[in-house]
Amino acid sequence: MSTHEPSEIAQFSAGETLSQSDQHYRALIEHSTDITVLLDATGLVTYISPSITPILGYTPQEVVGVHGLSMIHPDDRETMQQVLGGILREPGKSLRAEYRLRHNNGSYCWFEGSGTNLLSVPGVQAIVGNFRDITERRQAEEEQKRQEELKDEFIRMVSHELKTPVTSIKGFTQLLKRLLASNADARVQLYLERMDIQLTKLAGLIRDMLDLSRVQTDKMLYNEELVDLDALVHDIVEQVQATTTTHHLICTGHVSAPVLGDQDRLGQVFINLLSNAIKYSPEADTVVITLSNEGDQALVCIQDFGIGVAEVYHEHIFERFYQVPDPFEKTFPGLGIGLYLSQQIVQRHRGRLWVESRKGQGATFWVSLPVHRSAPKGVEI
Amino acid sequence: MGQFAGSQERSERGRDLSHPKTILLVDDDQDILLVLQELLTEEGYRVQVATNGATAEAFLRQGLPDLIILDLLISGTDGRQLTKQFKREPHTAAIPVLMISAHPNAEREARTAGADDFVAKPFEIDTLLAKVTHAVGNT
Repeated sequence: MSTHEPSEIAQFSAGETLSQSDQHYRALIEHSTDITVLLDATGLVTYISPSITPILGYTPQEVVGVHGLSMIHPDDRETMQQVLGGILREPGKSLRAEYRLRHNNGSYCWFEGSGTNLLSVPGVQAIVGNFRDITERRQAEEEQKRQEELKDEFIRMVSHELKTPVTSIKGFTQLLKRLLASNADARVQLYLERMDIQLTKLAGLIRDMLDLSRVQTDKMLYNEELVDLDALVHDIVEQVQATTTTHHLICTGHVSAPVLGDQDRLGQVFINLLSNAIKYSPEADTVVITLSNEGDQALVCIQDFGIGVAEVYHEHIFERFYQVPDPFEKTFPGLGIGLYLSQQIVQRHRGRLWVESRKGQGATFWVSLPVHRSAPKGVEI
Repeated sequence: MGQFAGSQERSERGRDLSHPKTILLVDDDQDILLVLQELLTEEGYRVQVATNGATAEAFLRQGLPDLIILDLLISGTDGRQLTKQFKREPHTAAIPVLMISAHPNAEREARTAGADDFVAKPFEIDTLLAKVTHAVGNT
């Protein structure tokens, strides 16, 4: 912009002879792609840089003298009134905000701006504001959000649609198991049993996929109830034991008090850890589950005697979609969701999930959850 | 011995065979209806099948079942609305409703609507049967 009218400059410092330094700063402001504005103590515009013209379609003359909030979108006006009020109350105070301004053609553009109260600074005596057009960034963000929502909705729909046939197949498989219970050929029951187990796994994968989308969009709902961790872990161990013939699950110890949280979600964590322990220890035949207390924490430890996890991967295995980049481990299929989800769930319970392991020497996964202490008797809470 | 091994024992466990308990099934998925119908019939229950809310209401006008098994989302009708309606009307309010669904967060929604119990799809037959036995035992 090199076509400033003398009148524009005149509003800034009428009649003054500009020093070289002043001219230097003036040039910086007037050639900036940001817009600089000065407001008086009542919020009226006393100066606006010429960059307003290409950005918002007004000449500076049209804007000088109007109220600083008059061009703000009605929906943003109340917030911006508060922002301006906040700046006005305190000399030196600086605040930033994002808001929409009306273009001369009637449309609205998004801006990111900051204002500083320099009313008491001699020679300035104004609220000094700077703002820049962020319409493209906002549009990109909104588009990304819309895409995320679409993806989320799609995953939700796909999961639901996948669950429906799995429900019928699983139902018919179980009916067949009952119908053919007296069949002399033992393979019939074995095959149907394997089908049923695989269908349960498939349902688990669908659930993981759905949960992942809900964790990412923070739509996962958690119940808050007292959970008897001993009973829960024993139930889950029994449940997982029923699906494996290769491993013996040994459960020892106990925790002294309940934890506060969502029983199903915590159950999901233990199912995940136990399934992993079995999956990653194909040569072993035992998984040891130990319950204990340490201070105000309940600890559940799940130890396997399998392939282990090299220390360099300990942090990464809890990342979303992470698969240990070891050619041998490619033989262990999965989505890389289970540990990520488990950690998210444990963290939502104000707990911790971590691994102790070395390559080739088995792995021990620890879940630590704060125990719930009931209030002392006779004390109102 | 019936077609299902052990079904005789099971049938005799929960109910009086001369006065079988009636279950109204409401779901719009024909396969799931068939699975449930087969299973519950073999277990000795009298089963009525409805694929929509209107048919379910028609059954209810003819006589009251001992249990309603209802999907949360039935095309054309909302299982939650139906449940609320059943629980609101004096003559159906006492009938236990067992809601089934593959939908996320369904249990919370089912219970908010007034369902007495909930089973997530896909379900284990044994889990479902245990809940059915419990529900009709309470009527």
